[in-house]
This record gives sequence, C-alpha cells and structure tokens, in this order.
Amino acid sequence: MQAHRDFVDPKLNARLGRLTLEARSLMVGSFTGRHKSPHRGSSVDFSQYRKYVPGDEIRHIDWRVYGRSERFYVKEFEADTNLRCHLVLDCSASMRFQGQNGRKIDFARRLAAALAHVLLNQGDGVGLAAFNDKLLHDIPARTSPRHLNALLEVLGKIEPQGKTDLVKQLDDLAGRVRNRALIIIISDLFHNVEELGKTFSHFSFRKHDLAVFHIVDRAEIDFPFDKPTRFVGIEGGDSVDADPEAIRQDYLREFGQYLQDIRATSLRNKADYRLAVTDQDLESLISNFLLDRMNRRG
Amino acid sequence: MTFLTPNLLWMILPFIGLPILIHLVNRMRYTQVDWAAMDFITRARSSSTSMAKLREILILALRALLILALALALGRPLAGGWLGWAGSGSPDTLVIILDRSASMNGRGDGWKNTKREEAADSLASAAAQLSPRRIVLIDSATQQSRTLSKPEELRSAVLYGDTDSSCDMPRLVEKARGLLAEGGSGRSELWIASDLQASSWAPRSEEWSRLSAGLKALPGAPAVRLLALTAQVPGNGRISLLGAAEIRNRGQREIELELFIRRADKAGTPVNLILILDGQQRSLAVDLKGQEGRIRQSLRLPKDSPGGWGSLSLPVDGNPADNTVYFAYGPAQADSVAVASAEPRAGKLLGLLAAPAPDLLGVKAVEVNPADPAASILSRSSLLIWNAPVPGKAVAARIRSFVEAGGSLIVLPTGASSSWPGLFDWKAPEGGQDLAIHSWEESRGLLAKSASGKSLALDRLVVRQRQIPSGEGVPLARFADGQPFLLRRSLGKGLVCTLAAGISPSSSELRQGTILIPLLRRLQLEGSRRNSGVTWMNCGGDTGGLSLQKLSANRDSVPATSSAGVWKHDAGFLVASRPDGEDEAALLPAKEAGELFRGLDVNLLEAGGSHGGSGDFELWRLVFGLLLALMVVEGFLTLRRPLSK
Repeated sequence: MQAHRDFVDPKLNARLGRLTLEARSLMVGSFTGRHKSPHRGSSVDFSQYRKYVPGDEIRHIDWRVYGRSERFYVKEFEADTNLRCHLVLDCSASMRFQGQNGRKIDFARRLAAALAHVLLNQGDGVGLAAFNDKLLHDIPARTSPRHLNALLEVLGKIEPQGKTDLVKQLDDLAGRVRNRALIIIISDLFHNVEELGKTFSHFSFRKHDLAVFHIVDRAEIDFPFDKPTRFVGIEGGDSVDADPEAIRQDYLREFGQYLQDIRATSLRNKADYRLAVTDQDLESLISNFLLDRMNRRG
Repeated sequence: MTFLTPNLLWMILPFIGLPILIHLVNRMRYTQVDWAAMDFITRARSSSTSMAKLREILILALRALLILALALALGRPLAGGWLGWAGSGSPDTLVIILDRSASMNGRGDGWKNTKREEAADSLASAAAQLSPRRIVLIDSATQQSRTLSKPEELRSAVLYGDTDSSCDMPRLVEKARGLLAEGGSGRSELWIASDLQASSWAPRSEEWSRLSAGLKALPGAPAVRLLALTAQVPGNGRISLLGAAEIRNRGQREIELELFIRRADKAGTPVNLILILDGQQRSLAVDLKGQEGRIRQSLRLPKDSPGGWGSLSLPVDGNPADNTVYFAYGPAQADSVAVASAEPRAGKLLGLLAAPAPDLLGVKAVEVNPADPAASILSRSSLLIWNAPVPGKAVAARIRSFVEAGGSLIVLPTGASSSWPGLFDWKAPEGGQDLAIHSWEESRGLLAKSASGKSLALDRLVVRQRQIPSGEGVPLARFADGQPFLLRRSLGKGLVCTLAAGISPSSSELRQGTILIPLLRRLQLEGSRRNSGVTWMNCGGDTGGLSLQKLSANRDSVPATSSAGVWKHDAGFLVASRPDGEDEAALLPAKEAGELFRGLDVNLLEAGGSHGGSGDFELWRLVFGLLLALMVVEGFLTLRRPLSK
C-alpha cells in the first residue's frame, strides 16, 4: 500500500539542496565519499609518513625521502569515505501530541524526510530506526537514491503508539551500529535525563557523531491553559485534573529545568542538540543545523 | 436582629451556595487535553496543590460571604436598639400609643429632650425605618386615633406636644385592639411609648387579662413593642393643688389653697413660690417641714372683685409640667349649708357643726323641710346634710339635680334599714364590741390630715351602732372588719357621701364634732365651687363645648385644655389641672408592664436617655463596607494568579 507523503516538501528539499551535511568526526564508510575516514586512502590530502614494513606496496614508498635519508618511508594519504546516517525516530504515543501547529510526529516526519533527502543527495547512506518501547522499523543505511522511497514509505506509515523505552532502544542501536556513523535522534525525549546522558555517552564512546532533535510543542513550553483541565496521558496512565492557573508556575519551572538539563547533558556528551519546537520554521531549523556543521568543519 | 426588607434577604440567601455550585459545575466541565508531558503536570500539581486548594477554598468562601453580605445589605439590618432585636420585618399595620401625659414632660439625667420628645423621636425614627403600610396613632391626650401620612408627623410639637393630661392606658390599648381588628389579617404591631406611670397603667385592673386575650385572639396576633421611658427625673420638685375654696376669714375674703409640695432643693429653708394673682406677680415663701408635705395657703382676694385667677409656681426643674398650679375665683357671694333633719335638735346640731362661725367663715346653716326642701335654698347652698328618712322620688330627683350641678350631699343613717335608689343602701343597725375605725384615706380628700399635718381622730371615734352602707362609691374609711364607715361617690359635678353611723348618742359620738366639723367643712368647700363661677376639671376633660379664652400664659396644646391653665368663658372661669394620678411617682417595672401582654410577642426597651433616636441603626453601611472589603480580597486572590504568569 502506498503511504501518503504529504510530509515531503519538494520546495524545501530544493532549497536545502545547496547545503550538505558534514560529519563532525571521522566516518567509516563503504564507498568513497566527502567525509574523512580513519583509514588511509588515495585522496589528494596528505596524511603522514610512516616506516616501511614488509608487505607494504612498493609503489607507496616515497623515493625522495629515501634519497635524502636512505630510509624507506611510506607516504600515506587521507581516505574520504561516505557517511552512514541512522535516523532514529521516536514513535511512542507521546509523539502523537497535537498542539496548534500539528502533531509532533508530523513535524518529526518532515524533519526526517528532509534530512534523508539531504544525505542521499550528497551520496551518503541513510537508515531509519523507528521505535517505541520496541523497535518498529529498522531500515539499514543505504546510499541509493531509490532508497529514499523506502524511507519515505516507512515514514509515511508510522503512527505513534504505545509507551516509549527510549534509553533501551538507543542503547540497542548504539550496540548494533558498529562503524562510526551519524546518529540523528528525533524524539520528545520524555525520559530520565540522567539515563539519557548515559545513553548519549554510549554513542560517544562508540565514536558516533550524535545529533539530537528535541521535538517540543509550543504548548508544552508555554502551558497556555487557563480553565480547569483534565490532562490525559497519551501514553496511558491516570489522567490528572488540574487548575492550570494554580500549577502553571510550578509546571513552567519544572519544564524549563528539564530543557536546560537535556541541553546540558547533550553538550556534555558531545551531542549536537537542537530544540525543535513544532511552530518553528523547519527550513531554518535544518539549514542552521547544516550550516553549523559545515562551519565547524571549516 | 431586625431586617427592614427581610423578603429580599430570604430571596438572596439561597444563592449563597452559588459560587460553590458554579465551582463544582466547572470542575465537572473540565476541558480534556491529551497530554504528553504528564510527569511535569504531576510534579507541578503535587507541589502547588495544597496552596492552590487553600486559595481556592478561600476564594469560594469569600464569594459565598460576598453573596451573604449582599443579602444582608439588601435586607437592611438594624441593630443596637429597640427594633434591633425583634427579629421581624415591616408590618402592614402599625398602631402607636403615645403617652403624652404630664409625667412624660420630665427629663432624665442629662437628657436634652423630655420623655415625650424622646418617645416621639424614637417612634418616628423606628417607623420610618420599618416603613409600614399604615400607621395609626392613638393619642393619650385625646384618646383619639389618627392615621399618619408619614412617621415624621409624630414629631409635631403642635399636634403631639407636651400636655398635662393623664393617660388611661387600658382604655388606649382597648382602642388599639379595635383598630388592629379592623386592620384585617396582615401583619401588625402595637407600639407603646410610655413612662410606665402606675397610675396610668393601672396594672391591677382586671381589664388587662381581657385586653391581652383580645389582642392574642386577633388574626396574626400583633407583636407588642414597649418603649419604656422609666428614667428617673433628677431634682424634680412638684406642686399639686389638692383643693381650693373661697372662704371668709374674719370677714376677709380669701381663697384657701390646699397644696402638696415636694421641693427639689434641700429642706430647712422656706420654699420660694412665684405667685401670680390677678396679673400681679410676686414671690411667696412658704414653710415646708421636710422635703415634701401638704400646706394650706390662704390668699387674700379683693373684696369686690368679680372674679380672677392665679397660679403658684416652683422654680424650673427637671419636669416643668408639675411646677405650677392654677386656680380661679368667682364673684363674692354668701354661702350656706342646708340641713334636712327629721329631728329638729339634731338638725340644729348639724347646722352648728357645719357652720360653727357664720360671721367669720361666711357660711351659714339653713334648715330645710325634708319632705319638701325648697329649691331656692338648695340653689344657694353648697352642702346638703340629709339626716332624715329616704325621700320620695320627686324630692330625691331634686336632690340629685342639686348634686349633679356641683353640690355636696352627706346622708346620715336614720336607724333603720333603708335604700336610696341610685345612691346607697343601709343595712339594719348592728352593735358590737369593737366598732372602731381601723383605716382611712388621710393623704387627701375628705379625711385628709389637717394643714398642720395632724390626722383626724377617727381611730378614737366611738361607734356604738353601725349601719353598713353599700352601693357605688369609694370607701374612705373602714372598720376593723373591712366594712366601710364612709363611702364617697361622684355624681355629676358634685359628690355624695354617707356614714355608717348617725349623730345620735346611741349610734356614735360624731356629735362631738372632731370628725364632723372638718368633714362637713370640706364637703361645703367642695360644694361651694358650684356657685363660684369656676369650673374645675382635669386636663383633657370634656369642656362641654364652652367658648374658651385662655388667660394663663403657659404653653398651648392640642386640645387646648390638655395643658393646665385658666380659661374665661361666658359663665365664669375654667381651670384645667393636672390629674392627681400624674403626680404619683410610682412606676410600673418594665418587666411587669410586658407581662400585662401575656401570650403576645413583647419586645421591651427601657430607654435610658438615648438622646434622640431609638438607638437602632441600620447596618447597611457596615455591611457595605464588608462587601467592598470582601471584593477587594477576592479580587486580590483572583488577580494574583494571572500576575504570576
């Protein structure tokens, strides 16, 4: 069945086509690409000299150095490789929350589709892992432009449901992805911040380049309710009757603290943290993300 | 607490629960929101719930109090006075009895107004607050009722000013009962403002049980509110005229005034009176033993004067109404006592006893035939002594006319059981071991003490045989067994009295004169008023349609003769005096006055000198202030939340 693809914005994709997503660390890819690899390769960028050891190809010996030093040195060049990006999409029921600007999952879907388009467009591999408390979809990273269709099809079919087990699913992913890769987490991150920090450090340990898009609705930030409201947990559990006027102050304080903690934890674990508010312009969000990374690379 | 508009109060009061109801309805009408960040809601709620609940309860309580305050304000509560504790609202019919008797002219200690003014002020204020549909005033001076168009009319000094009249409270209450019965089934109240003078209220009268039962039987038995102005009047002296008679003293024409004086200042010095006689004013010092007492004061009159008037006044004090007595005298004329006796010797003796010194006293005795007393003699006489068998109808009618015209009549028993129709009956003679006179009225009247303060020797009067009289009349003296010795009754303008003993030696020792001489003299003086050209009446009495011209310069009242004074009319003078009862100091305790209305809802307020107003005040200002304060606090609590945003 052909899933709907309303979340794909060709104009946005066209505007983003001029930009590239740069990895912040060395990548290990299968193909030659635009990203630096930890391995030595045949690119034009000199890397280092090292002593010849038996087994090295003789054609890599730098004879000019031998002429000066009468020692055999092998000239190494940096290897450029492609990037494997894993889009990690939270599909728990909390992503179903709908504010005035639509559902969080729809925003996340558009974000993921745009990022996938950028990555595939620059020849990088893109995979998708969608989960709630279990892994729902796991599409391995591929570089084929046709792979975009498969990704979009899955993205179109995703419907948030069930509780989330963010930490477990991310830990599993960190263990599953062996080579260095770009991990882009798209989630509302409703989880214990300390545990999330540990998970982020897991990715860091594995030398993955971690980016986090924290999807938050404007209503969650501003808490714009004034009449007695029954708050029904989207992920189940008891509902809470509350007078928003009475709890606003405490809610705003708690939520603000949570956002601060998430940001701090992400930075501490070298994650590229982006607060993605659903009323935010998606193009500016993504372009800022891409430009920052490009600038960082120099 | 009284509410002037209780209906509004009861209408609004149920809405006191409205804020709570709205709150509960709002709670039931929660807006449902599917929410992701539940942890934050839960944490925020747990940290703010206790304070929020407290504030919520506070706001709800304030709102409920706001409605309560609004209901109270619209109910127009009264507090602090007469109406403040009655617990009822505005009556349909309000009947007010205003005691305007002389004793209400007194002022309590430090009072600015008289009791009557205080009462009128309080009643007017209270009636204005209650706004009854109909207000009917029963005036004690006229005993007439009048519908008031507005309560302020009570303050009219012209219509309802001070008087010297008496107050017959049982009669006024009976009139009120009639008015309330006419009022129908609406809610009614009876308000009485009085100083509770015992003589006005006659608390021992059997009328009261009938009156209270009558009031109770009315549809929607009226509430009775009694404003008792029982405050003592400090430093009040008074002077009362007990009797006045024109006499001859050694040929000199005089008017003898029998006075009762209670002085306000300390005893020991003569009492300084202000005498006005025939337009001439002078001071007159009289000796008074003790703080109060009776005195006789003779005032020399012009020999050929056609008549005149005068007054005696005490200095101004707490109650000016009892400081002055008025008197008048007619043209000089000879007076006589008619003696009708079946026995000539007894007749002569009685003549001697009645007129012992004709030349000096100007009174002579004239014997008349008991079978046919000459009308010409009777017309000139002031006293008729009847010592003969009961006359026939024609003679009895003639004698009755003599009495009703103002003459005095004394009837002595003749030794046989007899009956004078319309007057008295006498039992057959009876003897006994102990027929001494045991008690008699000696404070005033025919058997009063002498001017020097000596009692008549009635206790030493020997009575051998008695014939107990019966009939309508007041016993002035009694035997030890309670049987009357002397009966007195009024008949028309005159008076009739009879004794239980005759003057014969077998009957008593009355012939000695120690009793009879003063008794007959006083009867003669009473009767002499008939021909004096002076009409004596109590204030507020019936003037018989006389055309009156006021002579005394004291205050004017409505009706005119409700204040003491002297008037001239075609046939002579009219003297209106303060009734005797108004000089009685005895007051009925307020509680006892309330008990007279047994079975009714009685609200009592003893006014201790409120100096204007009933002491009631509307609480609306207070309640309104409370309302505003509650609104400010509620607003603060309500607005505080958005500010915190």
